[in-house]
Amino acid sequence: MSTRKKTLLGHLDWWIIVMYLTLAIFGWINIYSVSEEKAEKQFFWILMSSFLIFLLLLLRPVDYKNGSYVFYFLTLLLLIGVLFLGKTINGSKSWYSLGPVGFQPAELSKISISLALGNILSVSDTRIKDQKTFLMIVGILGLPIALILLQPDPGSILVFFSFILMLYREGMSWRVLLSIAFFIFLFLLALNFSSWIIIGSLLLIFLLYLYLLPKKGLRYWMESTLAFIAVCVFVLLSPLIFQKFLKQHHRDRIEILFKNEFDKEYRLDRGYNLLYSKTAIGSGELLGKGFRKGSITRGKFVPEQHTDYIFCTVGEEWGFVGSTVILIVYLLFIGRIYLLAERQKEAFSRVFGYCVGSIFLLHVIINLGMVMGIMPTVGIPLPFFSYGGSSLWCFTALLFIFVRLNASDRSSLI
Amino acid sequence: MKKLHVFYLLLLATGIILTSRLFYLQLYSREYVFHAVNTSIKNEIIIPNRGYIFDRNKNLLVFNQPVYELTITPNKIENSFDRAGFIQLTGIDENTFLEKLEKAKAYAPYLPSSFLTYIDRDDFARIQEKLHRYKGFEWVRRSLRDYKVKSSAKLFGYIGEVSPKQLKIESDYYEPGDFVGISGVEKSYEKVLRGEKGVNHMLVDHKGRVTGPYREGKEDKKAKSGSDIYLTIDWSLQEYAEKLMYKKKGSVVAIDPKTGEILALVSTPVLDPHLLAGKDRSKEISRLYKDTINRPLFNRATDGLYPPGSPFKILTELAALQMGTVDVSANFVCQHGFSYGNKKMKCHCGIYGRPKDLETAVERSCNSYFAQVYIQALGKNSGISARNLDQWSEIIQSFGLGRFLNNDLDTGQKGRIPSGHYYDKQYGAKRWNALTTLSNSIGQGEISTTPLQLANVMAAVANKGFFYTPHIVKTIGGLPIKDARYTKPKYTKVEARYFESVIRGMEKVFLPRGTASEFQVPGIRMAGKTGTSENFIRVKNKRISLPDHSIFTLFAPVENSQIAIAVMIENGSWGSKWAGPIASLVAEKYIASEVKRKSLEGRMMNNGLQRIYDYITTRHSEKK
Repeated sequence: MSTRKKTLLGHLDWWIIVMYLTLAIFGWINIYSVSEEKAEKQFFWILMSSFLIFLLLLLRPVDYKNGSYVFYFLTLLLLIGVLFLGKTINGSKSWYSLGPVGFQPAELSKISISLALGNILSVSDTRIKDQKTFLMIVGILGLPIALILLQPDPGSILVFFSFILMLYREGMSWRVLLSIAFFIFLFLLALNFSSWIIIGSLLLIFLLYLYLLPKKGLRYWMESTLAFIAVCVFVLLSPLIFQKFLKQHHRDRIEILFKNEFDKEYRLDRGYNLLYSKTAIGSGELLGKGFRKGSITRGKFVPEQHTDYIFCTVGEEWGFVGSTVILIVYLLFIGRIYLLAERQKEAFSRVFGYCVGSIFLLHVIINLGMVMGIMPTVGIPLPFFSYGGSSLWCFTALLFIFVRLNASDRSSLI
Repeated sequence: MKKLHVFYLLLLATGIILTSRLFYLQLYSREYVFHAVNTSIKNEIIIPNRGYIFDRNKNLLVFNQPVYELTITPNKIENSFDRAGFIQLTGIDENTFLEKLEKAKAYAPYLPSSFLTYIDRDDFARIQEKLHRYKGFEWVRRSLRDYKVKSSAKLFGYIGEVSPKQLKIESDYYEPGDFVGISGVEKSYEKVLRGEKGVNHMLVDHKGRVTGPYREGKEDKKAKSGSDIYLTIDWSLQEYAEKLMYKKKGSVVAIDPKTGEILALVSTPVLDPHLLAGKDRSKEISRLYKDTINRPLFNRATDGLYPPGSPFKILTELAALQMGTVDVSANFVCQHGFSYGNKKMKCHCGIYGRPKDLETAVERSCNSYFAQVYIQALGKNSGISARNLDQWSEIIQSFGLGRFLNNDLDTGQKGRIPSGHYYDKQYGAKRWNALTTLSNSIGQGEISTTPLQLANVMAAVANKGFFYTPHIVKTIGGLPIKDARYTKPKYTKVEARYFESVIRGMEKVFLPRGTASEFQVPGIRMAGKTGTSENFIRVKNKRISLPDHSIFTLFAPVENSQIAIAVMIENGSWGSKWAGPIASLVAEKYIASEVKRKSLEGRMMNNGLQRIYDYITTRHSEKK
């Protein structure tokens, strides 16, 4: 036992661990600045997570692989259970409430889906483009998504885009990624301009495209035209989707991005969060106001500043320099995960690694985009920074399962 | 390209986009910095106590009383604002509320501006208790003026809310609702009296509650109280002069010739300063302003322009002496006046047909004598009159006439001592001479002066040729004023030796045959000059004569003078009727402290000219 642990420690990727500690410690400092009481609790969660790390490192890679389906179904059960037993917060049933401790099964689903997808794709000769594999992947992703939509918690679904990034690495066409980006772009365009103007512009581009590439045959023409019609229908339907499928507060969160948040019409309700999170960050200027000296932070102007809006404290108290440094640490951290994932011999570890890297990346993009006012408000935490045991443990688990898989892969080389 | 590199590119793109956004928010855009300051830091402006005003003998005249004021910051008002409750609390009606709200929004929606002023202590205590319920409203304590005295409002002036114009000029200090000196000493010494505002920066939380000092108060500024001012005014003299001016329009100015310090500056009708400081201040001021008959806000002592009449003869003589066109021994004959062409300047001096010397001419105020002195000075030759008049008027202007005194009073007029150019323009070059402008010789015609200027002329004569610019403030914050204007003598263009005979003549005015013999003060040698100033109004381009103004100037004692006085009573007929007695009483009061001539005093204090003023008003309005 002791010899195994020694080799294991020797093979852990210390770069990752150092960056993880940097983020966790600096995150805790910022929580402390917002609220000493929350910082005390968070300290407890961080301590507890070291036990979690110990447990995760004890398991062998093969245990993770073998246990992935069991774990996945357990998660599904929890997702079903929360619909009946969950505590209703803001109209959604997303949380189990166990006394003072809250637990969100959607967090858990990130881990279990990553493991399950790794397991599927690790079978030799599987290709994403095979119909059977594709359907399984859709099923594995679709079930939890459907259950989470029933809560409903559309914000959490956004993070599931990270699995699409992973699928791209595993052979899915880049066109899918591009199409998703294109449709999101069209959707936002349709909110701000008349559908007919967009369709008119698209038609012009389409005709120019046909004129410049004329020698491809009838079938190609047909396909292009069908694609164009589909796009037009989407443009026409976008406002309808926006109105019918999103709730009023979701719509407000998207619309406010295109408005002036200083406007009196918004500043006291719909634009309040946005206005004050931007004010906190913007007033930090180059070097920030200093630790515990942020007047917006001190005055508790930003709601939920210890959780989803924790980066406001970084912006206000540590300024452009502090914010950029933290951003760079995040990107190096995620880049390192991708690099290690790419080096894995085992497909299971590689797939899991890409999932972990992408989940962190999506969280960083959505959370930082939100506090800076370039993404709609989505209640998702900043990994290792935001207050909360549930999310901290989830991110820690994701990271250290991967650290364990990585170490094991290396040790086999000796 | 390896897929890993695509992921690296994705990270790079994320980094670039988020860093650019941070750059925009934190380094490029300023509005978030301002917004953070506006919402999380509250500036508590500390308005310092305004300096007190004392008289020269350390009697307190003007002090402060606290009032409270509500301010509004329109942007901080929440949608849930309980308007009905607020209206009930403050006792204003809904329309006023909306009006004031609009006004505040128009000024600056994110800055506090004055909402409700002049809240007294009791009302304020009640309002303050509940004010925290109404976000967007705060209070400031200001001080209003209060007075130990019931007159001389024009001397002190008053304070009021800063005007939009001044707000623009001095935007770095004043804020809407601030009080500033609007007239009088309050205006001319505004910067001394107001002190320097202080500011405390406080951190506030999202509910507007103060949580502590901002940066441990490092950026706070302490308020500096305004300095106390000691006027040159002798309040007992000022008050005494005001009593003598009972129901008479006009002014009394007394100056200490040795220093230029103004001892009394009275302009009647008397105005109670309390009227200009109370709750109904603005209503009261507009009422006073609209009173065009009595013009109670008009400072007759500094702004009233009158033909000086006979006292001016002294200057006619002094200028001619200095020019060398006459000498002190010159004699002239009076023929019940002085005839020239088909006109005659009348004279009632009582000594006709035989030569008369300078002293007698002054004593009897002989029009004829000084008309001839004037002719000597200018010459009848129209070719040289302009040049001579220039010289004559330049000498007279050196007594502080025809120009601003440039002193520490907020009001003042130049008056007019015409030059050659003036008549060249009016009649054409070389088309006029001494005779054309003969009225100037006796202080009528185109000559005009203010009572303050006239008192200053007396000071210059008393000093035999120099004066100190008359001023109203003696010490500021315990230190004597150092301005060279008030500490260095200004020399007139008349040499000291020319004053002797003139002063002797002026002293004779108080002797048995003189025009002021009736109000000679036993034991005090005085030198004076009566004056009767013709005046008229123009109604539809027609000149209508009004009863003459009664004028008297004096200085006393003749040697080592302590006081120079000019008194002007509108429509008080001849000089010795009202102005003379009042001037002599003021001099007696100042020099002897106690007035022995009680019956004269009583006559002045109990009789007025209201009937004459009423008569003029009715006749005037009939003519209209």
